[in-house]
Amino acid sequence: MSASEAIATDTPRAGSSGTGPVADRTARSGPSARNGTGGKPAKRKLTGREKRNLRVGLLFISPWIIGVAVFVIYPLIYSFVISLTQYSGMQSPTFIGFKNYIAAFADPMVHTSVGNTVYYMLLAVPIGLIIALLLALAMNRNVREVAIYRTLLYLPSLIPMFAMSFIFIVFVNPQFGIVNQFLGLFGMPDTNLLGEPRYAKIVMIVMAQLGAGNAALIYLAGLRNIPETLYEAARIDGASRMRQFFSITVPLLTPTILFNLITGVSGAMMVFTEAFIMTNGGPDNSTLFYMLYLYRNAFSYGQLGFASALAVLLFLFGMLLAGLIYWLSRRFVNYDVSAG
Amino acid sequence: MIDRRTLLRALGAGASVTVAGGSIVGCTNRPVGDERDPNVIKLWGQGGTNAEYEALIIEAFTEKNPDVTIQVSQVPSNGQGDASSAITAVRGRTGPDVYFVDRFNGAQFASLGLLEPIDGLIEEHEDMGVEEFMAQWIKFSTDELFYDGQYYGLPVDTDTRGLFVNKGLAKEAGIDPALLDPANGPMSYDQIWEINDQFNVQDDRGTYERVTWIPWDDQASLLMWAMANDVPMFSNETCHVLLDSPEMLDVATMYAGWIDKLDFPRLDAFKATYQPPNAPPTQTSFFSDRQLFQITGSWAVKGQQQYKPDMDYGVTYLPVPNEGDDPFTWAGGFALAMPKGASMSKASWEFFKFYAGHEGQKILMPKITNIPTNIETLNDPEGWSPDIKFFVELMGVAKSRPPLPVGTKLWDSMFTMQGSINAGSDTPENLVKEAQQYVDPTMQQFCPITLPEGFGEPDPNFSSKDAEKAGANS
Repeated sequence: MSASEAIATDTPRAGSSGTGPVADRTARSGPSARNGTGGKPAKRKLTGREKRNLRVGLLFISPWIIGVAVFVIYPLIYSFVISLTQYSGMQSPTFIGFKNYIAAFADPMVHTSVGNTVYYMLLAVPIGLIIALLLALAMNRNVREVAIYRTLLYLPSLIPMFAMSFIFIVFVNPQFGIVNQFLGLFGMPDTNLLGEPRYAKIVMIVMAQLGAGNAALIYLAGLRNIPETLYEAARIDGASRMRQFFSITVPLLTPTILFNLITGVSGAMMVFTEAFIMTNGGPDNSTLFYMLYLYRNAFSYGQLGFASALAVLLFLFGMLLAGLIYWLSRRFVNYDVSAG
Repeated sequence: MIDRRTLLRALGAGASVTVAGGSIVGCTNRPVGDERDPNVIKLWGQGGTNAEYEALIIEAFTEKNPDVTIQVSQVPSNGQGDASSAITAVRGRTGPDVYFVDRFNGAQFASLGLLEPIDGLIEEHEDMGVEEFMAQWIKFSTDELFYDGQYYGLPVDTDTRGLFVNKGLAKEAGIDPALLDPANGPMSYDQIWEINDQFNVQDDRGTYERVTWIPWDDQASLLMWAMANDVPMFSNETCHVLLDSPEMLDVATMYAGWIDKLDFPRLDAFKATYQPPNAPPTQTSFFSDRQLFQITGSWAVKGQQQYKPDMDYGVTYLPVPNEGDDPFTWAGGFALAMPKGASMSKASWEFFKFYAGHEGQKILMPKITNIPTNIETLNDPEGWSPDIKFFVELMGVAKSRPPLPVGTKLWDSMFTMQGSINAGSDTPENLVKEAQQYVDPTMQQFCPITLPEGFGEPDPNFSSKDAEKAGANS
């Protein structure tokens, strides 16, 4: 296996040895290149033309600026203000300082719901990333009827989550459902998977994978962005398919993986619909996800202040997590291709 | 490519559309309170099949009051105590004038500030005092609408719970018919267990093929067993909920014993097989001849007539702790309320009174096989369906839930405790403490409050004599 060993040692160097178009791009856009332009740019006044360009530029993006201001920033500030009050949504709010935050940290249901959500996130997101990648690889096959396969693989993602929830209830019927029929082959007794705390979350994690088509489409775009010449070179060097996958496909797909990771994490933090429809948080609160508990506080208990505090905490946690992922991503994300 | 001029034009056009659209929306007439047309009443009414019976009330009212228009919307609630649709509509100035609500949520919705008190309307339009006016309805039902010294609605229906028996199955299994005859009083828990051991069938894989009863199914719940065992839920003296009382612990421990005996996962799998979540009303384990007893309410009589008319069934009392104990049941029901922003006009008050009063209840109750709360309707031979005579008689012993501003949270905490016992995830000792910790701090936000005298207990205004009289009507 000397050939593959050669690839193994060559591949990391391929980026910097200047042997192909990709390598050229790397040389220009790698971290060192970016550092090359380092140092603070000299402060100077904008020329009239630049000012006009800035104005027009801002006008171009103004619909989005307005959208973000009205639908993101304003509600965010409003939520924060409300979170400092006791407020039912109807009467005027009473300022209570940070009591809602203290109550949130002390509330055992918040602990349960955070635990459930993190459990869901830790399993659903990595599994989702892998399944979406497998789907994308399947969609990327060079066969004549690939368009049909792409459509078929993407189709389940078009089903709204609430409809999917109803379908899944039938799938997991203890005696007649296809899932239980299958598990029965291995001797599992008829079990109400949605009624067992240890299985209910798993059912939802499995169900989430039917929406992998969206992430797969993004992967597909990433895959098609990888130059065929790299694979040709690797094949000439005798690299196996597996080696090509791990040494070319995965490293060059890392920006896409990062994107899907962040959207996946953010989606997992907000998981709600399936638990609301299929189990309403049960059994034994095993599917009481953070958003479901937040919703209950806001609309069943009329504790909008407390619910807003939960929302602000979720936002802060999400930001922290995104920051952490970005920080970690510097170690594994490779922008060689996309920088071109 | 878009050049600058095109961009500016497009932005100009966009801005004009936004301004025009904004003005249309902004200037849309969304009056509230007395700015609303007093003779147009927006009703958020009943859903499902009951909507057609409600339409009969509206028809009867508009026939007498041709200049009043009633606009009906069916706005489903998302679950126990969920007021999201009402809160958003009221805040958006599109709330209804008259709102059909679960009466158990009355005090809670009032405490949120979602409802208007009706005392002023009674004083303005009626020739009698508030208390005298409200005394036309069964006391517990008006208690549920009383918060902080005022009434927040008028009661519509009530219901009691009983043990429905599949007589065909009972006969087939050779169960002593005398046990199932309400004339002999309620069965004890022990007697139910004896039948259970004789009747249940499991296949070689342990899957239940038929079962006697499910103590957490339909209307049966830990909350119900707590009420059946006289567990106090709230102290008027201390303004604390009492979910960690020794009495509650005893019931939770007893219930945990039942769960052990029944093998929860197997019985749960049975239920999910024959009556999965969100199954149509025709698909129940009771209707499919797989369950001997079903604990449900008077409204299910209509369900039997509609969905399983050929079933040979009977109704008896709910089981009681010991042989010879008095019968037990509890009563709930719905009400009409006026949310914030309602017109509170004379016409809407007239409609309100018509719907919840004698005429409206007389139209509705026989159709939905529930019990009138209006005393005149209760005493009217045509005020309710003769098929629910047994349930009406039960009113003499019916308890009710404490009308607290944390009603939904209390309800949720009891169902959480039930779920944890079912899953065996914690001990009853810990669970009662957790329930208390969950509900009581929120309760303290509303203290001090005092619930009406005798809350939760059988209605003193509805003596057994009344029940007999009501029974004689049918």
